[in-house]
Amino acid sequence: MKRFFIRIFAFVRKEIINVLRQPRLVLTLVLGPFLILFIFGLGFRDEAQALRTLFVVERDSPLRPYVEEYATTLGPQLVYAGMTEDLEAALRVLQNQEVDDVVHIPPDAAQIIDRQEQVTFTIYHNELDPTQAGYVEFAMNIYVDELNRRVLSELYRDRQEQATGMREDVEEAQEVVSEAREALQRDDLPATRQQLQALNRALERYGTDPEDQLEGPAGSDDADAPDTLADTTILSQTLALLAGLSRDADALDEELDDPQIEDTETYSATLAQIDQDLQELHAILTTVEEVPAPVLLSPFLIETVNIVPVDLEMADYYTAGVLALLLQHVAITFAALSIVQENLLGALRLFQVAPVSPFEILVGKYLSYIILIGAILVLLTLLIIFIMNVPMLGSWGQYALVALAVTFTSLSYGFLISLLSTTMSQAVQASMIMLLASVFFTGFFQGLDLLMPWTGVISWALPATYGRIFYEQVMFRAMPVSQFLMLGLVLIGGVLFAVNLIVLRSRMVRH
Amino acid sequence: MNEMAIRTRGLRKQYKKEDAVRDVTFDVAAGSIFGFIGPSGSGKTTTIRMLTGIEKPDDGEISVLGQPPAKFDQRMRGRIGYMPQNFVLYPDLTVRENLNFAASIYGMNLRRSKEMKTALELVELVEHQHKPVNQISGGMQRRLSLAATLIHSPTLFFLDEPTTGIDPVLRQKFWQRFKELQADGRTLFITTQYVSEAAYCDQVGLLIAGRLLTVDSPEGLRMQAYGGDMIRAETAQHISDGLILDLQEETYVRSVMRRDPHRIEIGVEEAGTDIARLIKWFEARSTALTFVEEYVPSFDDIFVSLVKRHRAGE
Repeated sequence: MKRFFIRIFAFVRKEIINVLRQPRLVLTLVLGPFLILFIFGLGFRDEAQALRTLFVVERDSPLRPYVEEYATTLGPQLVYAGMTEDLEAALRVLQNQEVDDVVHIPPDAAQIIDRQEQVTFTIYHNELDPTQAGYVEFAMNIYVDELNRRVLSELYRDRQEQATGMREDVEEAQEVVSEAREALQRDDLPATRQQLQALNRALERYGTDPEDQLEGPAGSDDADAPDTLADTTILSQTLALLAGLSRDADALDEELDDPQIEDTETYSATLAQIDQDLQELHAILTTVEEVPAPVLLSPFLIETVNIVPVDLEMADYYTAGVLALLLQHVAITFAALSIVQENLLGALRLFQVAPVSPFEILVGKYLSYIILIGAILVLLTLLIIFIMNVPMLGSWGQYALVALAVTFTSLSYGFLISLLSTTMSQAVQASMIMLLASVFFTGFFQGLDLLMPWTGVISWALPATYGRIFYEQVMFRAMPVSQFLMLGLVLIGGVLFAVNLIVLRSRMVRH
Repeated sequence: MNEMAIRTRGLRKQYKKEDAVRDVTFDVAAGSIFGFIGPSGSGKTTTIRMLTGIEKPDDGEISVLGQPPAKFDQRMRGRIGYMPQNFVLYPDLTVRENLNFAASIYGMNLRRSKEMKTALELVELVEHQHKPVNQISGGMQRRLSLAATLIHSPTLFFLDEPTTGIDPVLRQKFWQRFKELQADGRTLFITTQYVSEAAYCDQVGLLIAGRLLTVDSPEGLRMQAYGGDMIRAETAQHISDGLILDLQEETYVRSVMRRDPHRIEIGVEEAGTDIARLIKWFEARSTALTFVEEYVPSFDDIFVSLVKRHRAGE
């Protein structure tokens, strides 16, 4: 048993010395990832890209005066790059990447609105990157929404001013109706008729077509200006009611013209109804006046509250993924080169003759790299925690357990590569392919949810996927790692260890 | 010396359906030095790999220390020392660290400084023990390789061309050490391209193109090559063909070879008595010998002679 440990220790010592004899390698392994994260943290711009936007609008378009005003005030991500009438010239500018997008406003925008149809603004962009193309479309949609909201807001404010005038007329009408009712109670029909005629005069201007009562947007004298609220707002309904009341008052006045009238109760009820209608109208108009435009047009706002116990910078967040990737890559590379090197050196033949078993060789190599990678991780962690101030909320025990499990399974992959490779270049290539796969399939750049479910076969075969998730749980959520996932990771490592042992044993048997 | 450390019978190994070694049969007595001599590519390394268990023979039987190599357990492997033809040294490790690693994989006790010192002294690397292997010469690397083979004191050594690439002085020291190991009761199976090294061996096997031509003692090989002792003679006069033919008729003469018009080499039964006979024979033919002496032919000559004879026989 003593000899068993001596032989294992021989490999542990040999591998560790071998790596430590290359101080530049160790320095690169520790400082490399740290510097990348550190520079990324310093250099990351925590804001969305500003889009240089060129507008194409006809010279005589009624929208032209609004374009620049809106374009310069919609938000920081839209940079007004000018206005032109020539679409082809604008597209050439876009082709030369002097602007990020071109917004084409159709020349017949006003006529389209008059036809009660929506106007489509065409956005041209020149993005190769699908993500960036998506961003341009997303950003421009938001800006068009904002534009719509502003146009509606201005129209609404204009209607509020009209509502004030109408409310004053309704109040005057209410006073007249009140006096008419009092006169009717006194059976003073002439006085009642006099008040009804006064009521008619007060509502006279509402007796026409309600649409004629409403004007275009504030400040617009242009007959072609959009008038989208004309038949849809409460005001138009109110106007219709007022016109109806005016007609009712006129009819009542005519009926009271009959000198034979004895029973005034019917007319009193009609006046009471008119009074009630006026009260209701007053209430509606007061509401229109009082409700602010933003509340009416954007009644719902969003306030997000993140319940994650820590506020993360972008570089902090990527730390978990980088640590997992680094552990996996270093372990795979060390292990992948290890047995190929022994083979090329002829050491495997020597081991075939020596009283050392494949199990002792593998265990010795696993242990040596676990110790080495552990030491590298300790140094890297100190730099990350104390210099970059990356938060560490969870248990250090869990942190170490994750490192151990990820390293073990990654080493298993590395040794498998090493046993199946016949040259160093093959081993290096295979290690790089593992790294490349990890960049795309571990959720390092984009969440696993964005991938089709069948790609999970690749994702969940990669130790870095588990490592990233575990480190996010431990470092930023202070949660224990999922036992199920941990079991899965260790199981992969264990199965591969057994496979490696079988392959190494077959390599060391007689041919 | 009677117990056999190695026994092979009809060994055969093929690579890509071509015989690398065929019908190789020999015995190596325990406590002896067995020299396996042959040119590069003759099958020496293949044979040593079969003996150590690295390669499995396609045919034939092997017994090493009483067991077939395929059934060696860890204890048995600990009794064997193998020095491969190419260095198996880790270039970034120092001389001492490499030696330590070799000792450890054989499970040697961690208190091994005495053995380490002895091994380093033997190969004269004490002064260089802290140098990385990639900073020492090729000769030093071979010496270190030998030290790594000796460190665990094996019973049976398989040394694949241990003296290749080292200077003659050190080569002689190596053989001196091999002799000491033999005196200590160890068995050494040594392959070499240096035919002259056959002189250090108890038994020599000559391997040509995968076939074992002969196994014999160095003296026995000489006898096989020339049939007895060799005498070199010089005359003042030209040595005619007729004179050579007459000389070959003498009963004690085994062979006559003319080196130049005045110099011949004569194979005889026993040089001690036959020199006087030869002097008289030449005087009787009015040909005075200006120089005559017994000489020991080099093993290179013996090797060439045997190979020629083998090819002539084929």
